[in-house]
Amino acid sequence: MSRSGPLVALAGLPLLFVGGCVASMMLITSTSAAAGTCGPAGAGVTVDGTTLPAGSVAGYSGKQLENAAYIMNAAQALGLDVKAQTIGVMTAMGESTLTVVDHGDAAGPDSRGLFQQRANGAWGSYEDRMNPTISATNFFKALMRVEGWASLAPTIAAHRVQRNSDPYYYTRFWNPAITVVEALAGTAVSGLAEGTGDLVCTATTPSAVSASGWTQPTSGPITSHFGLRGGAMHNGTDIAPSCGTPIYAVNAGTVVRAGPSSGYGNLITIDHDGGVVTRYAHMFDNGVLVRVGQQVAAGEQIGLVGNNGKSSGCHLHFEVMVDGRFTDPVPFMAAVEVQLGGGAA
Amino acid sequence: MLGMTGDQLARAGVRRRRALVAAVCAMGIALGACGGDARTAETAAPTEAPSVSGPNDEGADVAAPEPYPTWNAEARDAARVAARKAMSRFARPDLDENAWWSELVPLLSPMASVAYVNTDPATVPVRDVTGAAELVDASSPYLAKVRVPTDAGHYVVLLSRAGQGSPWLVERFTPPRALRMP
Repeated sequence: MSRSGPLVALAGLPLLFVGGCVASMMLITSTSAAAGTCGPAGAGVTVDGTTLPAGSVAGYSGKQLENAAYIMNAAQALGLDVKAQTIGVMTAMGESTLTVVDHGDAAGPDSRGLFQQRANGAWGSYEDRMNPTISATNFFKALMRVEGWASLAPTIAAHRVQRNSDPYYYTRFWNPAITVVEALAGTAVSGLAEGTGDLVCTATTPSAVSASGWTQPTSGPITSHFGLRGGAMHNGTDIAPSCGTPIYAVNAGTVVRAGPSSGYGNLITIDHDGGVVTRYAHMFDNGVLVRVGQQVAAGEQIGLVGNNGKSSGCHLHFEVMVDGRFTDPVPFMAAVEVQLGGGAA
Repeated sequence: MLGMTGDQLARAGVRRRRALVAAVCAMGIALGACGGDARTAETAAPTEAPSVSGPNDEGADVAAPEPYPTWNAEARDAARVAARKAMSRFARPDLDENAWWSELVPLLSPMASVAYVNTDPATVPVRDVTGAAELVDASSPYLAKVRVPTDAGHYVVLLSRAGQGSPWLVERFTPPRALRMP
């Protein structure tokens, strides 16, 4: 179903972002060694096509696993990491069930091959589109042209290349893709986790929670308080640990907003019910780890501290709203036995 | 929440809210809102914040606070209308790509306006909205799930809003299961 066209560049992903992304990922490596944590993805792996699993892996077998190996090796040849390899396998699962299909579908009668590439010239000849290695290579080259692809949720990255009507279509193929990639690699892969096909990356380092069920949004020094600041109202508390430090939901609730917001860079809003809302700002695009509608527990990681939007350095801008009015987060949190600023929760 | 009427939904929301505000007040927070109707109480005049040191966001333009939303007849109607309108704009596979996107994107949430970038409208399998939209989940006053019948089956449109009176924006168009096969 994929059709080549101008890959729309993401506004809001300045070059600066790349630096911030790498820095935050390095920090995460050092601060959260637990398995399945948020990025970075490990290096790409080469698959030995002569020693493929004999049985079924996540429902795929024989020729299908051979095709997955061609896909993974095509990514490896381009120097891509294991996340890209898994995105390729996920996409081909969704397009062709890992089979070199010689027919199209309703959305594209001229679609062919593992990635259902169209006959519009962008994906090469009929033979190219039917060749596992060449079609996979063309898929990955298109993926590499998607600005910031590695900081997008896997299904969104695949959608940017494939251009279907539902950007979340590939989500359910992420788990089996990880299973197949690990089986073919012969080892567990780092930086990827099941259940995150529609999330930027995984967040699995919960914070300790107070007896009243609340926790710090992040740990670090307070660099700017709630109140008037040079004549303008500062509606929250700025807390400034290192870039990439985890951000936690301070209490259980529902994510009701997540995404770009001019001065805030990115903004996450959590509704805790009963008129109490908390907001978290300045994450980079790869630091927004939740989706709208998601239920989060107190202390669940929702983001990474960033320096996006109007911000003079990495920090979390944390707001508390009660019945639609901004409230000083320091006394509010103190009343639930959580002290803002300082060390670990 | 599924079987509750709108009024029941609204009352449940108010009950939860009063319970939590009361709990927070009991913990001794000086909100200025305690002891009265939180929605109309005056907050204390803002005071000068201690001086700034370290990374911060001084000078950032911040949006005015949005009123905490509640469910009422107006909100329910607005959600149904918004879902139907967005679905109609989404379901135009014959439209030029740029025109399709520029007319759809004002109806999308910040998250959706990133997720739906580079969608090819020609692949959208829907052409017509064929019936009345139905609110099927209103468990959060910020979110609404609306089922919209189309010529390709029932889509579920997830909407969000920033506060009471703010427009409902689309987070996601979820196609019917029959369209989700490879």
